[in-house]
Amino acid sequence: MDRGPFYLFLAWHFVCMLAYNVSSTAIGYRQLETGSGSGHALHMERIANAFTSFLPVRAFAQYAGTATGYGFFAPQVGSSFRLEVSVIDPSESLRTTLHAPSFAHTHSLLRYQSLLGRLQHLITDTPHNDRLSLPLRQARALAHCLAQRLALHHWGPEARPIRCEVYVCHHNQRTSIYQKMIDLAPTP
Amino acid sequence: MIQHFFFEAKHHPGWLPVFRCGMGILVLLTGIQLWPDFHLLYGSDSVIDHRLLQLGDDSPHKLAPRLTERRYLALYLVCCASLACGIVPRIAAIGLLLLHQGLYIAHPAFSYGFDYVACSALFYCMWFPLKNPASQWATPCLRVLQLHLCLIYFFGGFDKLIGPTWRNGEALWKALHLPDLPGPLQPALSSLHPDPMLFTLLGWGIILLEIGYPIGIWLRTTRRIWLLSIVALHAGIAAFLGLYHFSALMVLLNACAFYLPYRKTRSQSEQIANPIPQPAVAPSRRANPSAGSEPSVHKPNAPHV
Repeated sequence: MDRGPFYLFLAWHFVCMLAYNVSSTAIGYRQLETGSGSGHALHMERIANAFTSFLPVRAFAQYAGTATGYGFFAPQVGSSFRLEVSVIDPSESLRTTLHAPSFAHTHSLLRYQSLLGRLQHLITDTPHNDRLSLPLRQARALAHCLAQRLALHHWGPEARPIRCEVYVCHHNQRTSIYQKMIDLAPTP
Repeated sequence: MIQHFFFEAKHHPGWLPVFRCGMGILVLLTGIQLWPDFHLLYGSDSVIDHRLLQLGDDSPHKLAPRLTERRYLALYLVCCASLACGIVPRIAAIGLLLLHQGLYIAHPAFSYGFDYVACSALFYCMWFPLKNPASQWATPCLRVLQLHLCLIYFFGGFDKLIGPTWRNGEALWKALHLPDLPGPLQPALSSLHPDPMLFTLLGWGIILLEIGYPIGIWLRTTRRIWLLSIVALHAGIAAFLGLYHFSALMVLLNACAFYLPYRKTRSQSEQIANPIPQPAVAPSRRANPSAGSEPSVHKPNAPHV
């Protein structure tokens, strides 16, 4: 039994895993720490990212399912987001509201909530000199697209205009972080 | 020592069939649950435009195209059943891994922790000697799984340790009250008086349990308690956060890595039940003629008698 290839695979597999986790830990640490430690974390993150940007590493890690950090719910528990779509009457009163697609199973709702986590950029990315970052623009576009498609799925194209509102939720409280009126009429 | 650790140590081979069957059943269940909602999440009339999420993303997507048709999910279910039943398990595992990539990993809009850990487990199904649990590669494969679990828990614990909210219990309280993860026992929490000290202690307990896993799980004296504590942690995650699939997967991996391989093999059990007769007490065989009359193939110590 030739053991060399096994040791080679083992080293490669675990170095890939370590690189992704070091990068993920360093990102988490930098979010919390602004002192001298954050410089070291940035250095480690850059080294890890340089390694993981190497295509064979990325491809292997993607197929091995290791292209991720294992700090579940860490270093801090993220906020929950909620997207509400409402149909507005011509008299500008709220007619009906929708929170999520009507899924048959709660596991699908869990997956949908995972997507809503991307809306965090609506609060973490602030515009600099009227220039919006790509993640912030993506988050806004995502909210817009979700609201539009949910309304079309649920009420059809005749439900217009609609209002899209995103909330950040903590326990029993919620705060509105984004609001937009959307007309479902096809663009000429 | 390394050679012995990876290749020469012998373990109960029963973990491999449980690993294969458990993984097949678990991913089959997730696939079945996804079936009625597939079109809303992954279909061509999904609730989002998936191209939107790919903007600025340069990951190697071309290696796994996005699967938008339900027939791929049907194929996924067939592969799951094949893996669970042990029918061409390696081919089923390869098919599952490719489909899992196309569905969940390459386009992770709706993916969460379960999908990544399950992907790794399917990757291992592809390599492990599933059809021959007594293979000489069973021990090296077991070591890969064990080391992977140690890494998962170590980083899970370390990342929590650097977060001040885990050290003061706030993160645990927040996690248990997340409105988007309503487990069946979550309402019971609101009826309890929140004791900050309790959450602080539990928070530290989780940190120590996870960060100490790579040591505690290897020591024979602490293995059982560590394993039970980890299973209790995942049972809590299922009950309070509703993450059933993730919890079931982690319990399965823990059982396959650190419980089943350390069960006593049949020959070991027989040795305990029928200790090796010493040459000095050979006359006792006359008192019990049946002792030592079993076929020697079942008794590794037979040549010494």
